[in-house]
Amino acid sequence: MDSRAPAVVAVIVTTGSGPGLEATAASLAAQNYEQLSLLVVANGDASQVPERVAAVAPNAFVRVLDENRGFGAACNEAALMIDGSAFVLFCHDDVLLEPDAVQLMVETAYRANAGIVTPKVVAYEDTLVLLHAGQTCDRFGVVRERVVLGEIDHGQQDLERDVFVAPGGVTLVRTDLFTTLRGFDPMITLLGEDLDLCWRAQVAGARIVVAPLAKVAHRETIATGERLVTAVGTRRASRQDLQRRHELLVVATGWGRRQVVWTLMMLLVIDTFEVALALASRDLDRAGAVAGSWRWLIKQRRGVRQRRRQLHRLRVLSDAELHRLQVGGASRLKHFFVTLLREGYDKARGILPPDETLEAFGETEGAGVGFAAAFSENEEFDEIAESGVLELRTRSSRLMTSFRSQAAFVGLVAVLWLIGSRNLVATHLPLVGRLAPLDSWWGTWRHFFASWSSNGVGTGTPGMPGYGMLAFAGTFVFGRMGALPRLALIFAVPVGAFGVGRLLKDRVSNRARIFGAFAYVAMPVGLNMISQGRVDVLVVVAGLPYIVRRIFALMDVPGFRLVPYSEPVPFGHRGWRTTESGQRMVLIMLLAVVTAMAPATLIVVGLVVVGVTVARLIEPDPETSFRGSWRFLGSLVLNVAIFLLPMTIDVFFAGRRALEILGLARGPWSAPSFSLFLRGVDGTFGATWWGWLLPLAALFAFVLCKGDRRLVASKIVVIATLTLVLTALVSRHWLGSFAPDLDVMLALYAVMLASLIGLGIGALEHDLRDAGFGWRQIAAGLSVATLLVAILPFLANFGSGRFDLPTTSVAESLSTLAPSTAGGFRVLWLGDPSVLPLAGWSVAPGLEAATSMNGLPGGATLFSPPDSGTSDVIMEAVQSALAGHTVRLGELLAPAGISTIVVMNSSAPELAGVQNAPLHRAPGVLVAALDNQSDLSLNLQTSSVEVFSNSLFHGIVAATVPGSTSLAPVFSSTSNSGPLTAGSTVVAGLAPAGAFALDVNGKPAPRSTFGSWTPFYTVAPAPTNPVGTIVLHQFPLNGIIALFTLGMWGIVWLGFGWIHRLEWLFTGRRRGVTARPAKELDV
Amino acid sequence: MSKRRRLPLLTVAAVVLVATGFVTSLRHATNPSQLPSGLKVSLNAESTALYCTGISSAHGAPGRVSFYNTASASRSLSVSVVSDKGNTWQGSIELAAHGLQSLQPSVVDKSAAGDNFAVAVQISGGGVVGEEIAGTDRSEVPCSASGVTRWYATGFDTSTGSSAYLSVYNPTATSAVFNASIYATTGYSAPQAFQGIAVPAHAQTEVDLGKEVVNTSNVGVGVTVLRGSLEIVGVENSAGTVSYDQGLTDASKHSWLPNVTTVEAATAQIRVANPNDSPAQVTVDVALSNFKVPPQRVTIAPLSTGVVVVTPNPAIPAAGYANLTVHSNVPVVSALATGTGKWFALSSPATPSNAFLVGDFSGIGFAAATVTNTSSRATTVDVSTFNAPTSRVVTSGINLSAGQTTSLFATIPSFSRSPSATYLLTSTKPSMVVSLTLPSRPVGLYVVTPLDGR
Repeated sequence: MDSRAPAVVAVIVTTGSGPGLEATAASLAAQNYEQLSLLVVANGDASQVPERVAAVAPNAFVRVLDENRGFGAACNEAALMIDGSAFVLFCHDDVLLEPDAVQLMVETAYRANAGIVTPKVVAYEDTLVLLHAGQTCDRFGVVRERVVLGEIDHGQQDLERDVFVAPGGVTLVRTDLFTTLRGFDPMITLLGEDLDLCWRAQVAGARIVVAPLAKVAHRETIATGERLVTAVGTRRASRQDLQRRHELLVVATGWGRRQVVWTLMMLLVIDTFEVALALASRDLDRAGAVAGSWRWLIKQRRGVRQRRRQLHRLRVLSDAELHRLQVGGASRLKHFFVTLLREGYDKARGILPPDETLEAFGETEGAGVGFAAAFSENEEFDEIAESGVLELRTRSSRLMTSFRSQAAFVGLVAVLWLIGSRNLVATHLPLVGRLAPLDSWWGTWRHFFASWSSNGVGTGTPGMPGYGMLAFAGTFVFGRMGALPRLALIFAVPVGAFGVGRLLKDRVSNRARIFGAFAYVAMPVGLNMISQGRVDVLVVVAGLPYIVRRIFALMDVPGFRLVPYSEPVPFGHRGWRTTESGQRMVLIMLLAVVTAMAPATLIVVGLVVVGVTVARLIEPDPETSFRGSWRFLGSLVLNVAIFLLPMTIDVFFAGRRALEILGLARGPWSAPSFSLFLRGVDGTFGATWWGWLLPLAALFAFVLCKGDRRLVASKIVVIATLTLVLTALVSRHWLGSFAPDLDVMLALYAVMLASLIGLGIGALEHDLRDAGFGWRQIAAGLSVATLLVAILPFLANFGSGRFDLPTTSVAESLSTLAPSTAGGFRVLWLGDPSVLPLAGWSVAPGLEAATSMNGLPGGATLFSPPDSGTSDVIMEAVQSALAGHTVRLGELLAPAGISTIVVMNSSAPELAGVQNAPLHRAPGVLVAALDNQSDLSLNLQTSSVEVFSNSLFHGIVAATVPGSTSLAPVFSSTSNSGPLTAGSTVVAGLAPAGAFALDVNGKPAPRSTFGSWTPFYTVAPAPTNPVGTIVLHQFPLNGIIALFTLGMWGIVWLGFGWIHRLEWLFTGRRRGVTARPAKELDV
Repeated sequence: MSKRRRLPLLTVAAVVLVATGFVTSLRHATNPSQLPSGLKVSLNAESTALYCTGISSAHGAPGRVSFYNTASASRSLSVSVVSDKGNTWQGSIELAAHGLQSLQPSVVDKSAAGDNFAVAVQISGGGVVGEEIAGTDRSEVPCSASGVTRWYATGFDTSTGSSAYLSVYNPTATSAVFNASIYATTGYSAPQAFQGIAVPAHAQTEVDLGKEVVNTSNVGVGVTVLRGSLEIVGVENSAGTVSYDQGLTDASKHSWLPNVTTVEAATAQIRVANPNDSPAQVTVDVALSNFKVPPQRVTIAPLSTGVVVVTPNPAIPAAGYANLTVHSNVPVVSALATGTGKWFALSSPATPSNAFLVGDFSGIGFAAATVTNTSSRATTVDVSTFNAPTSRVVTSGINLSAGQTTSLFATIPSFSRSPSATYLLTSTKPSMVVSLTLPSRPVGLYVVTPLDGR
């Protein structure tokens, strides 16, 4: 009976002793497939092969080759002898086929229209142990198993499916395909010929299918070292050498023109890394194998070109289609990092021991498990279930996935932070930055309500809202105002870090949030602001993450508004807070609080809004209901202006100095360089190489992000970019008097970097698995590595216990500022705005002028209104000296009662080995100009400070006796009253002149100004012993404005449902609790 | 999101950042340490001061100070004369618009005959300049409007028959302290006696170089003011010829000496001090009439002095005035010593400026008056002529090509050898040098520094 089954020729290639040849031949002879012929090719040493074959398969043909040219060459030779057969079954000589294996494979080939069919391969000794169920590979030709080492066959792989590689041993190939592909590649003598054939078959559009019901046992005598590698051309090559060079050959020839360059470049990077690692671990064989593979490839370049041409003619699948059939990532690299994370470096560096086979490597690696698995929270994510890597799954070393480990980490960081700030708790705070000792609780309230403040030569502008904020905060510490700066120094950064965690909430996992928050703690800006005593910026550091989060939510940045706003509720009723207006009001109030301390926060908010808008132009959000960015920004600014009404009035009347509310121009010569800005550094922390680590990690994080995370990340990147650009321009003084505080902007940059890092960790957890190789893998590894390295220098900052906040300041060392003469006096402070310990006005870029009364700066000089008013006389006098237009600066400043001029180049003195404060020099021309003054004498000159005394000083309140023109101080520095000389003229260095009166014995003395800004009072000749008192007569307009502002805050606060809650106070009965609308937003 | 959109954001951000970084790093911002250049005693000043020191009443030819008011309004000068004995005299002078008035300290302070004086003047307003003139009328240097913190001069001679000293005045209300270092052909020294010299506020003192540097020619001096600022003038008395050297505040790689005599019987030397710790290769380019003169070169050892002889020099023809340009690979201090074989007069090269005031303060006229453009670009020099007391004529348009030197006699019609008017030369950039020589026989023995309004 004629069989209709297609003819199959089984080709057994035997080499050397061929220890399983008889068994192989016998199993083939015993196949139930009728149209099966057997051809044995004796590769080289053919002693007794015909006899051995004849003993078990008498019908078999035997072809003897002169030399062992390798498995592929032998198969090619055999193929030449075959004619009319539909399939060729290539077999090693150490396999054992079940009787129906060929039949099942042929059936599968027809059923699946496969070009190549591979059976299920089990261990020779124990057929319950799976060896292969087809294989796959990555784009670098690294083969990966679909089963794990020792996996027991209980039918779990018995499903026909496409695979990328049909492992050698037993392979059924359609004859026409084999002919089209020109057979095995003769350049590959041993190891890798199966990969190469399958790769080319895939390129040619053929399917490769595993037929799991066809079962074959494979002894793997070469892989296990039972048999030596003996093919021609392999004499001096180890298995590792052959494997690496053939992998490389496949990659070099298998990809299209564009892909091959990119892939080889990436492979070169990875191989270089592996060589370095191998050399470090003295694994010279591996290093030699890797390096030798490239050498070999270059030597074979002609053959490579030829192969590429041949394959190009066959190409059906594009590179992209081909890549989809492979696994993503770089298997070898993944395995390294997985091992590194789980088992340490020593284990990781030996990921591919010289004696380990490719198969063994694949087995230990585990399919589908990449580096991301270590960061996965999702059990389904890392494909462990699919891969069956039970060993990995049950490991307890997964990094910070449990609440306990996260809590422990947070606790550890908190403890470390407290240790690092231990000396900030009780020890002396120096007079640097904004650490001037605060006045009492009541005194601070008074500054807010005051009709007159002593800034400059005195001003009647409304009190700055910052005083109100400080006083309000002082309430919570029971008036212990000294505690406030300490609280800011110690807790601002942790509070900000918590805010970063909140910012990332619902966008990434808890672990990613913790990493983001920790990155914020390690950012240089917070540490530098502590070391510089910049309490104002620290408030921004603490509050900015919360502000950014709310802006993102209101601007409907993807993922930030998870719950729709609740239906409109009347103002004052419960639930109003969760409406859109309520949420906006919360943001405005939060913004107002921070802006009161650091007005440049408004610029930062502008950057965020503009950044989101610009980012949407480049990468539009798929769905957003938000419109009107500018209106939104305008409403924020307008409302904040209303909430900070006193400051708004100050700005309104400040004229050309209005912009100085945002910050004073720093000297471009002492401003940080652009590279420091990129690192977010304005100070000593982070100014070294490690400062690059966190920005680098953020960059890696950005490139890792995909999907929704990408949408958020793109906005963050745009905001960060805009921030850097603006910061750089401002630092060079290219925007004129628009000079927002650089450190406030750097705080925004830090928030953006920390958020990116958090998102990056999220991307590691979720996005990396979907990615193909390789730069993402590299970026992921580098990102985590940089994060880990960045921790170390952060820990080093804990040494001083005060984050390098100086123990002494320049200002405090000036204990002899008080002039020898009695009377009140002022000190004029000149220097870069970043080093002066009090607020003032800008004279020139890098030169701020500010005054303090009767000694060192204190709580009354923390804020200065932008409106300099009469104090312009001081600025003009200094400018005149700078221009060389006066040599009598002392005389010009004397009416203001300025006894001393302090030029500061640094906030703290340099004490070798103890403290190190950066020099921010005042303009050099200033000291030259002061040196030229004929009425100033230099009292002290150090690198950090120069002190000049005014020889024409006569006190703030002075008098001339009749018949003399010389002025002498009257009144003491602690009193505004005292005895006068009858008939004398009293001049007071107090502005505005109209606000003050001199009461002599209870009666006002006549006042005139004689064209100057100072009031002159004439004391009547009688009585003979008059007593005078300087009295402020000012309508309390400032107090009314302050009261109105406070009332407004109170009313809005009541609007958050408190009117409703407190209704019972007026009605006498409690209302039932009304149903809360929708789910209250997380606020 | 498609991959197509990913690249632009990263690219745009990278391009923006790189561009910003590049642009902001193009020019490194420097801390301005110099007061505005030009005629610093500007007209719109609230108050100005002038300091002149080194005026001597010795040798029977007392020196004097001439003040000139460039403003069109009168100025009140508060004058303080301080002698090295500590005597002071206070007075005031009313200076009419464009008025000139001289003050001879030895006359107003008769109690201190034979002393050296410093004159400090405080002016309400600006526009007044001063020139101190040696008693022999053969040397002039401008009074200064501010003190200095570094000062260099060279070419002093303490050999037999000569004496040299630094006259130091402290114009500030602060006691000043300074160190003086000596450069000589034999090398560097920092005599103990010259270290930590204190000058009380508004006091004057002398540093006699001959006390520590005995019988040495070509002595260079470097002064570092440790505290405060000082007005310093070097005074050289060479065989009875007193000359002032205003010195330089900085060593420089280039200096210009436009009117250097090459005539028979005259001597002219460029004396150079090298304050660096590396050798200085000094080249002097000589532009002389129609002659082509090879550059003169000399190597000066570190921290020492050297000389380039201009006259007599067989390589340089005796053909009137030569324009010399001194170049060096490192900043050096140079001075011109002119005279006969028996004596010499010192003068420092003028620092390029954008304003010079030329007036015949000594009353003997000028033998040569030139203006040189030291820049590599053409410039225009505006000349304002002040004919006392009121009229002011502005002549604009002396066009000078790069490196060009031109005579004021030829370019300003009213400028004669004995000008009665005063001339203010201004240019837009500080790249102008004005050089004057007084009449002498042979010509070019006395080079005076015009008022540059220091």
